[in-house]
Amino acid sequence: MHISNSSLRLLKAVYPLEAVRAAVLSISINTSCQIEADGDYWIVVVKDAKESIENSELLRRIDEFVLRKKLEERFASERDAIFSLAFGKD
Amino acid sequence: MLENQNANTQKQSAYTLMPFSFELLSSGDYFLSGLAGDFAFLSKNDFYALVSDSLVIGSKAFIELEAKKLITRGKAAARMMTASALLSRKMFTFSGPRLHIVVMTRGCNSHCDYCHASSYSPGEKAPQMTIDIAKSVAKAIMSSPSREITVEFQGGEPVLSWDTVRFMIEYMRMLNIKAAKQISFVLCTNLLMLNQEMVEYISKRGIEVSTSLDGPADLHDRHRHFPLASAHELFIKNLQFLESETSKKASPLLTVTRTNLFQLRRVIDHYIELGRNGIFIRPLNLFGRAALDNTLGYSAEEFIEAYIDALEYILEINKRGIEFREFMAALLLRRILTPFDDGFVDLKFPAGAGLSVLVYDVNGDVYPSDEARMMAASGDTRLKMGNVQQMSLKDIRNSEIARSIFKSSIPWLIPGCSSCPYSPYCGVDPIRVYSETGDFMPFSESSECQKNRTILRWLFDKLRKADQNTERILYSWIA
Repeated sequence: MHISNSSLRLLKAVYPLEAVRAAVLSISINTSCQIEADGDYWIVVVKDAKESIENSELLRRIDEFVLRKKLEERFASERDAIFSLAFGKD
Repeated sequence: MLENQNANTQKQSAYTLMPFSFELLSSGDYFLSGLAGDFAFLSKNDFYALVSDSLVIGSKAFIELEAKKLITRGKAAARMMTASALLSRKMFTFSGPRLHIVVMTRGCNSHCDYCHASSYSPGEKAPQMTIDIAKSVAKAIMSSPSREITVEFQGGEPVLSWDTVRFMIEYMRMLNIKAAKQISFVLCTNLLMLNQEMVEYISKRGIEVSTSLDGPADLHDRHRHFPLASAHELFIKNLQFLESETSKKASPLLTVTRTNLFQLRRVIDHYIELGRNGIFIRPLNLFGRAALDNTLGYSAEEFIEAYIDALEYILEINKRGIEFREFMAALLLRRILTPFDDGFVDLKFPAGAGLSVLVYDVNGDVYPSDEARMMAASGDTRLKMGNVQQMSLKDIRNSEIARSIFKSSIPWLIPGCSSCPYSPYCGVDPIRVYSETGDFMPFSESSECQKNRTILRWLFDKLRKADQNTERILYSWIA
């Protein structure tokens, strides 16, 4: 199924808006992405995607993007601690 | 799936995740790498168990990840070990410039269509380094804090300033009686003017020779023009002369143009015929004349396709019992498989330009890299760091240009690189970025990024799937 003909419903509590937008746009800078709020959900509609992509693949990319962001936040203080040990405070 | 992960992360975990980056591979597995370059492959199930803190203690994946410090049950020790390994890889940031490239003359005895340095052609009056400036350059180099120094004589064709080259080597040897550094000299020459006296001096002083070879005669002579003869024929004659008189082998560099891009197998065969044990498949540098001739270049995709085909061919050759390597792949493998820094300045985080390498032009002007000097030769001197007759090396190294390059090449601050699992083995060339965008800050998805990532993916894939023989070959490349 081509994504331009479909939409996704994503739980707001799990998927931050910025992550959804960034993940969708990472498919192609020419992709038009419309995100609307519907109660606890985001409704994501992608139009004019240059790449044929299925909903499951888009969901996987969004999942990965969100996970990456969460891990970055989780690693931030440990990473700073390692850098300080290796290179000093500055 | 993420909802479950959120629920799991609320529980007390039996282990701590150490910082890592990851990528989903086309196989469905995940590739992970830590800050200091330890890496692992995980199945999708293990990966999601890992990040949701539910990986079974004692499982195969757990043991591997703990051994590689990607997870730990003793955070302080793992932190210390990772910091120590990271420092070992980045030691070059503290040791001062090690490679010093000295441009002895802008003149050349031949004319290459792709000359990055915009050298003067035979017969043209070209600027040359004077003895006075050579002395200042030598003193500046000796004031570098680095204990190990490599001085590379370049041009144009440095042999056109042979007396100054000799003077500088002797002068530096004299200065080094007190400084007691470990100095090596490299002469970058096309070999076309080599004579008995030069060969004797090269032998006497143990000078390394770096030269150029673009393939068999039809490929080599296509873009390298020597007024008096076939450049290839004279090159071969003088290469044999040099190597029969000295104990060292010259190291030829290949420049890939559209002419030889899809004939790399022939080029490799030619290198083997000439007794070389490897090749550096070096893409065209779009500076100087190369930037003006649009018939020489190719896309990043075309280069990657040809390069990977060449690597596959080199693996085949090794399986037939011929020891041969591609030097860039060998360098990346060394970064993947060993914990040490290497001397390669063109692909580093932070960038080697201005930090590990300095380039001295004929008039004593100092640039952060060869490419910056090439830009200057084309009239763009914005990247000049200073001049050895007006500033100390310390002040030149602390120039605004050097600081800007350093700040813009810290991988953890570069969008794209900060989350890329290949960044522990990769690097940036801010001068190339600057020449394209007017800014030092690299951008992900650039053609350089695409090329480096594809090559690293290929190497990791080979390492992962290698049978015993392939593994032996890949390890032999880093020996």
